[in-house]
This record gives sequence, C-alpha cells and structure tokens, in this order.
Amino acid sequence: MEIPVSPTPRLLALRRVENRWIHSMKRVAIAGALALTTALPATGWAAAPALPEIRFAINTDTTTSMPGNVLRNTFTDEILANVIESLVALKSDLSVAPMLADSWDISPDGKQYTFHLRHGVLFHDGTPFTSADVKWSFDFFMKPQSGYVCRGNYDGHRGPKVLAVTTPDPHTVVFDLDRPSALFLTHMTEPRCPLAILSHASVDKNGAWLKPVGTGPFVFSEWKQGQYVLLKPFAQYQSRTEAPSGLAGAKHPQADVRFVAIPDEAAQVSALMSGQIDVMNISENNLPPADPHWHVIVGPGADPAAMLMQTRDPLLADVRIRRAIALAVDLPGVVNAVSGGMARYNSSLTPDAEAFYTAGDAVGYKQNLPEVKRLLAAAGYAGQTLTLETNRRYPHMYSTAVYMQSLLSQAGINAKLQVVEWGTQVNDFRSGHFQLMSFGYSARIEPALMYGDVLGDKSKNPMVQWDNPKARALLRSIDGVSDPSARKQVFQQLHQMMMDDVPMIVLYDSPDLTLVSNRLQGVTTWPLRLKRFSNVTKN
Amino acid sequence: MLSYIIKRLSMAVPTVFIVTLLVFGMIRAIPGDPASLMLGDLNDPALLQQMRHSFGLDQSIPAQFVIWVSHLLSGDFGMSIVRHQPVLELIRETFPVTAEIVLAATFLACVIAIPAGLFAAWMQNRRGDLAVVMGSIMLVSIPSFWAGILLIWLFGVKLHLLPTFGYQPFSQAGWASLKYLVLPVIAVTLGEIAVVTRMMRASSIEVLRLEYIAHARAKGLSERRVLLRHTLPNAFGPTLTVIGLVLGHLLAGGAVIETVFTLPGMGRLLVESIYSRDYPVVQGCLLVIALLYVLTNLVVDLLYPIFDPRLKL
Amino acid sequence: MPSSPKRARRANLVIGAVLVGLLLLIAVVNLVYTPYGPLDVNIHARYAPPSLHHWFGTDEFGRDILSRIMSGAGVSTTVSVCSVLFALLAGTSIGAVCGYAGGWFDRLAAMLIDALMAFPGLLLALGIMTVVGPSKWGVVVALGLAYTPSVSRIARGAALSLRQRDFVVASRTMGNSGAWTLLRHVLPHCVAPLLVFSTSLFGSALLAESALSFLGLGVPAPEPTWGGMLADGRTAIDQAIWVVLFPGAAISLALFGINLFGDGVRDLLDPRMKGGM
Repeated sequence: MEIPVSPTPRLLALRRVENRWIHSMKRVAIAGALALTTALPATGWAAAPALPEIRFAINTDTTTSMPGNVLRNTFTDEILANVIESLVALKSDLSVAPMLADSWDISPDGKQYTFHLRHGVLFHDGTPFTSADVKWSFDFFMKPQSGYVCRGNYDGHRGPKVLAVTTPDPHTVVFDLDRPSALFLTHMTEPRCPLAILSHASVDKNGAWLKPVGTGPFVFSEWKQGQYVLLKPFAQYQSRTEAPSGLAGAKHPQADVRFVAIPDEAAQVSALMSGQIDVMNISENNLPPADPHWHVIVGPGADPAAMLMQTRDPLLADVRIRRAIALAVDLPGVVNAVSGGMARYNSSLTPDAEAFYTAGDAVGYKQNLPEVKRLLAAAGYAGQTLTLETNRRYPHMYSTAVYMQSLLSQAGINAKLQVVEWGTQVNDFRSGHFQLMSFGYSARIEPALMYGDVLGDKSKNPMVQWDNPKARALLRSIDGVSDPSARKQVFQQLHQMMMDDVPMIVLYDSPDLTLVSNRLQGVTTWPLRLKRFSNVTKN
Repeated sequence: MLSYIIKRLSMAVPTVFIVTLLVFGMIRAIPGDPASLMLGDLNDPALLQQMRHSFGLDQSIPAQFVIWVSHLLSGDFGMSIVRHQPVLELIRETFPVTAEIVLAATFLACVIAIPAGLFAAWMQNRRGDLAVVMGSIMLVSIPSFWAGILLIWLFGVKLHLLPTFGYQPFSQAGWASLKYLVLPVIAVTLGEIAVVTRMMRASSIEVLRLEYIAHARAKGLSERRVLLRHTLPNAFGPTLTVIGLVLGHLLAGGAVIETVFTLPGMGRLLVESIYSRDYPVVQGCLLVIALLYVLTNLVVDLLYPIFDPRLKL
Repeated sequence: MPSSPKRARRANLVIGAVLVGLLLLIAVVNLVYTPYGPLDVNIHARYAPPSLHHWFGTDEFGRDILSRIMSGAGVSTTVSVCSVLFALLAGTSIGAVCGYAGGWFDRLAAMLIDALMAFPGLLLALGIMTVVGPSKWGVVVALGLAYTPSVSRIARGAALSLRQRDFVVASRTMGNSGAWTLLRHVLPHCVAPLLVFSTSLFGSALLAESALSFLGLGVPAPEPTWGGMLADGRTAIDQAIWVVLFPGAAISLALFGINLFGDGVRDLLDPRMKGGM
C-alpha cells in the first residue's frame, strides 16, 4: 500500500515494439529454464521447501552480517533491514516513525530523549526485549573494535555527543546529549549504519561477532558466503499496527527469503524469466518486454543526478558562465530522454518524494537562449573548451553527458566529453579535479545531510561543491531545530540560494525500478530502495 | 635432466620477483584507492581513515609490499577488499573456468590444426595447400570477441540453441554444463587453429625436405606411413613451442572472451578487480598468470627434446 | 606446377597490399570527408537499419555507422603505426645495445626483458591504461611498451650473432667507437628480421587496440574506435546486429590485408622460406 506522498512519475506499462523480440524472448526463457533446471547446484535449494521461498537477486554477496560494519556493502544493508530494527524507523516519505519505541519525549532544552519502549517484543532467540538491550547495543556499536562506521553520529564528531544512556526501568531508556540535535533520531535509521537493537547473543563470550540476533520480522538463518543468504520468518514477531510505510508500520513475514548472488544483470533477468528468482532490481536499459508473468514497478528514488561545475576553475568561477550553462539546455527534455520518461526534472537536492519537498523546491531553471547569449557576452566567453567528465559504467550518467555536450554546443558553449573509468571519476570528484562532471549522488535520508555534504570550504575539502559561508551558517542554524516546518523553510531558502549561486545543476532523482514475477504479491518500492519482504506473499 | 630443471626454475625466481614488484607498483599507480571508491560521494574523512586502516592501506607502500610478500611466502594471498573472501579462494573458484575454456580450445585447435598443417605441407603449393593457408589467414584475422558476439547472436538470440551467457561447473551440472562452453570455445579456437596450422605446416615442410624422407619414400613406404610415422613426430617439436606460447597468451587474454560470454573466469575477475581497485586480488591474479607463463614455458622446453632427439639436455 | 607458388605468393602480396592501401586511403579520406559527422547525435534515427540514407545503419544515439567506421580507421591506423614505431625504436635501441655490449649488462637486461615478457602484453597495456586513463597517446605508449620486449629480443639476437663477425671486429680494431660500430655495422643487419616482425606487429597492435577499446580502456569515447563500437553494440544485438557486424568486419578485413601483406613481405625477404609461404 505504498502510495508516494507527493506527485510522482506515473507508473508506466513498458512495452517493446518488436513482436519478434517478445516471441524470441519467450523461447529464450524456455531454453533458459531448461538449461537452468538441468544445471542447478546439488545443494538442492531449487527443491520446493516447506514454506514458499521468495528469491531476490543481488549483484554480489554481502561481505558481513553485522549492521553498519566497516566491511559492509549495499546488500548488507538490504538484507539486514529485514532482520534488525531500531528504536525508530523511516516511512516512505523519509519521516521518522515509532518502531521499538512506541513514543518518546524530548526535554525542552532538546538534550534529553526519553524513549518508551514496546512491550512483549522478543528477540529471535526468544529472549524478551528490554531497555538493557538498548544500552548494550549502543555500547557495543560505540566500541572501536566493533568496526561500526557511524560512531561519529553519537560521539560529537558528526552529531551530538551521547553523554549517558540510562535505563530507569525495563521499558524506558534515556539518552542524554551534550546539545540539541534535529537529526539524532534520523541517524538511528540510517540504512548503512542503523542503530540496531541486538541481543547480546549476537556476539560470543569474548565479544566477537557471531550473527545478528535482532527483533525484525526475519531471522538470519543461513549464509553461504559468496552465494546466498537465507532468512526465515520470525514466528513470534510482534507486528505494529500502523499501516506499513517504508521500514515502519505493520510487518507480517509470510515466506522464506533467499538473497541469491548473481553478478550480471542480464543473467538475473534470465533467471527471473525462467522462474529461478522472483524479484530483482533492474536498470532502464535492460527492461524485458511486457509479459503476463512479470511486471515492472517504477517508483521515485532519492538519489540526485546532477551536472557538477567546478567553481574554482578559472573559467567557471564566473557565475555568469555557470548560469549560462544552466539556462542553455532544455533540462526537463534531457531528463525525460535520459530516464525514458520515468523521472522528471527536479532542480533541488531535496528529493521530490520526501516529506520536506516544497513548492519552492520545484522552481527550476528554464531554458532561455537569448539570456545565455547575453551572459556569455558579459562574461567575455570566447569559445574556450570545457571538459565534461563522465563514465561508461553508469549508462544514465553517460547519456546525460552525451546529450548535455551536444545541446551545450548548440547553444554556443564549447563542451567536450571526457570519458574516464569510474574509479578515476570518483577520484576526480573527491579531489575536485574536473571542470564539468556528469555525476549521481547516493541518497541521504534527510536534506540537511545532503546539503551538509555538498556545502563546505573548498580550500579545506575539495570534495564539496558549493562554497557559500552564508548558506553553511544557515544550515548550521537548524542543527538543533527539530520542527519540520522550520526545517522546510530553511531547505527552501537553501535551494533558492543554490539556484542563484549555480554551483551545480541538479537534474532528477534516479527512479527505483524493480522487476517482479507475478507470483509475488505485495512488493512495493520506496525512495531508499531497500527491499522489504514482510507483507510479501508468493503463490 | 634434474640439474637442467633446477637451473631453469632458479632462473625463473628473479623473473617472478620482478613481476611481483611491477604488479604491486602498477596497481597502486592507478588513481583512486578501494576505500575512497567504496565511500563514493560520502564526505566522511574519519570513515575513510577507518576503512583505509582496516584494509592496510594507511601504511607506506614499501611496508605494504613487504607485508604482502611475507604473507605470500606462507601461502597467504591476502583478502579481497571488495568481497572479503580470501584471494586464493577466489582464484580457486575462477581459474578452473578459464582453464577449462583454454584447454578445450587448445585441444580442439590441435586436433584440427595438426592434420591440416601436415596436409598443407604435403600438398605444398597445390590447391589444397593454398586453401589451408588462405583459410588460416582468414581465421586469424577474425577478432575472437567479434566472433563471440556473432556466435551469441546466431546460436543464442536467433536460433535459441545455446545459452548466451553464464556458466555451470561440470561437478555440479555434469554434461549439461558443456552447453555453456561450446560458444566460447569455438570463438577462441578459431584464432588458435590458424597459428598452430601455420607452424605445423612450416615445420612439416622443413622435415619433408630432409633426406631421410626421400630415403623412406624410396624404400617404398606408403605415403601415410611416411607422414604419420616420420614427419609428424619430428615436425611436432616446434609446433609444441607455439602451442605453449598460445596457451600462455590465452590464459592472459581470457578477460576479453569472459567479458563477452559473461563467464566467471579469472580474466574477468582480474579486470573487475582493477576497476574496483581490489589490490590483493589484482596482485594475486597477475602473480598466478606470470607463474603459469613461466611454468608453461618450462614444460614446453622440457618436452621439446622428446620430439627432437638432436637436442641433448 | 612450378610457376604457381610464385604466382600464389605474388597474388597474396598484391591482395594484401590492396587491402592495406584501402585502409590507409580510408584513414586519410576520413580527415576531409565522411557522409555524416561521426559524433553527430540524431535522436530521431536511433538504431536505424542499413538504408540508402545510412549505408551501415545507425547506433544507439543515431550516429551514422559508416562515418564512424571511417573515423575509426583513422584512429586504428594512427595508433597501430605509432605504437609499432615506438616499439621498434625503443626495442631496437635496447636490444642492439645489450646484445652488442654483452657481459653482465646484457644478462641483467635479458632477465628484465624476460620478466616483462612473462607479463602478457594485453595485461601490461591494460595496467598502463588504467594508470594513465583512457587516451589515444596512452594507448600508443602502452602498446609500444608491451611490444618493446619482443622487439628487443630480436634485435638482441641479431646483435649477439653479429658481435663476433669479422667486419665488426675489424671496425673496433681500427679504432672506431663502440657506438659508431653499432650504428654503422650492426644495426643495418637487424633491419631485415625486424621489418618482417613489424608487419605482424602491426596486425597485433590493431587487434590489441580493438581489444582495449572493447574493454573500455582504449581510445576513449566518444571518439569512434572499432573495438569501442563493438562494445557499445553488444547490448543491442537482438534489435540491431548491424552495430556490431560492420565494425567487426572492418577489423577482420584490415587484419586480413595486413596479414597477407606481411606474409608476402616475409616471403620476399626471408630466403629460408623460399620453398613455401
């Protein structure tokens, strides 16, 4: 029941024109099914298990079973999101909702959070969940040996410093902070490093990690390194009663879930068509034709695609040239072409699917060629070449660059493509060594986190894109302000300032595409992309 | 014989050492490191430090080299940074795939090329010879990756006879696994046939010109006997060297074919690890390839005298 | 048939020369004329099949494939020729000096060269390209370096065999410096084997450049390269086979011509092979 809050790109029925291809893909599917059924590994996971088994394809196996560990990859986050829970959880509009805490009180000075915990919740090993477990989990993650990547959020470096965690009774836990923080709760829900509430049975008697024993709807049952992870429904899961939304609300596990590592996307598609897997992430250029056996779910994402401009470059330091670049191209048209109509132009760093998105955020650049001419002339642009860096690994970044280069040239701005290998591009991004760059940020769960990574002092940190002290001060001013409307106001202001400064051209939020077999019911998408398998059934 | 082997092996040691040095330096010369690549656009210097420390990247390069070599000597190839699996395990999983294709292709190529080369030498400068020579020049001109793509198109997309990608090991799927090998092996064999044919032909011509062949013919031996009993074994020697070269070359060039057919082989592991800056894996793979090269050459050198009694060890 | 071998060899040389000539011609013509700009995007003509407008069809961005193949000819030829020249220059200098000098210097160098040759050429080039980043001259240097060891081996072999020859010894006795003797007496004798080798090297370089472009580490997009076009077209073979058919055919024809030509040259220069091809 995932209805995105704000208007989103309509769900499209996708089709291909060539009927021949549909016909041949069916035959490929049959051949593939024959091939794969005769070639299944002897471990027997293809044999029908007692419970139905949902199979989800991941590109590479998880590298650890501990949430937030330094070794983690995206699939670690995805798998564990079904296994562990925190005090709070994110809804699909990325707002904070209760999870293991039913409610909480914040002291007037903002420095004390009192959480009232749920009753009757059990861990996967059957032991009851109490406030002592919250304290234990927090202490475990904050130990340097645990390898938790987000200690900075709680020790004062990137967030408030937690002075003490106290447990007045088994269902109340109190966090004392050194200063008010608007993001204290949000940080707990960070997909890469959730503040998971774990049982101490997750570690052995020496404190070394064993496996995640959490409170989530699924139990971490089996892990064959390099191949798959198997989750089983937690029979004693106590679901919340609110409507499911994002990772919050009611969760009812219905089937086993197996995360299967299949490195190649085309191989995943083939596996889905032959019934070996049921659901997978898919990119726009690999979509199969419409078929009664599967469908594609398109939903909004929260990862902004942008064209960056190096404001320290001698040529681009002139805001008139940057502004000219922003006005030279039909941005909605480019977004439409690049995303195949599945995303729309969003000029703001705040994703349009988020609760914080406002009408002010929707104000973008409108193509204005006469103004471009005027600006270029005023800046004294004499046709110098600008390099636009991109890579081949992410087709959207490449397509965007190809279109932008061509359209900029048509508008009189001499842009030249420079295609580099992705690793090199990341290096150039982090060192600021580029002029124009077609790039895509990964999602942040709150606009302040995105603005925080984008704003900064370029002379100290070459990775930041927007060097504006006033904007930085404005962002810092809401560090302790939790009131959503006040924050919205500030984000709107920041957006306006960014539109004036033109440090980059934000284009759209990469949509989330999922290819699902019609045997599954209840699969939904949300901007953070993590697959949730509670509430999903399989025939 | 033994002293020869020892001598050759000891000559290989400095070679391998130089290779390890080269490998180590080269991969680190590539801009970017695995930690910052994994971090991507996240602006967290403390986390970057933490990751670099856990991957052992915060030490000086000479120190890293010494650590790597000392682990190597005890058989530990290190741990993949991206996959967090032992490098040796990854190589053990992927190398058989590459080897299967290379060996099958080489075997197939020899089965076709050796008779073809012999035949061409026997029919020298007549139509049969010209056909073989022209055919082999044509084959060697076809890039294996183009042949691979066209084979996929023809047999996979149009005719639906064979799978277009993927792999199943023999141990798991038995004879059914062979259908994943057919197209890649054909693509690789095409080029190989040409090289082996030409060498076989050239050395057969040399042998056929020798006096004792004329002598054998004068004695009244059948042509077949002359060819199979007298020509083939003697012409095979130089051809063996070429086969060794080809084998070594293929082990390295696996990357291209494995990319086309999406095979989980060592070549593809190597290329992907270069892209993700997975230093330990790159170092391990290149080391293994260099060792194989040296080993193959050694084996070929040792087998050569069997076919050429003029050589004494 | 006595005249047939000579005729056959001559025919090979001629066909090879014609094809190579065609390659060079296209490479030159592409500098002044191509039916469409090789980089011109055309959103309305994506994946158009071969027709009168586009003889070889168009690719994913609507770019004319014939024009891109012509442009690719220029790129491939430049890169191959330059990398072979690089290898010849570097390899001959190193090899001849080593072979001529002899002694520990030669043995050390031989060991280094052997180590480099334990490195499959393509991987060495791949490694260099990842360090340098995709660039045209990067490919030239990478391939040149990859081939230098084999060239130097040949030069060294020739120089070694010549060291003890009368005229070389005489030259030194007369008081000429080593360097002069090297240049005047040794190097000219290296030419023949090197010339033969360089014709096959040219073919290898063309193929290697295509392979590197295919892997994404050759001459960078959007500059058209034959290997790069193959890589781009791979995902679309079900709907547009012409995107891979024509560039691959171009590579094959070029290699075919080079190989034939190389064989012909070898026959002319290598007296040992007089009896055959």
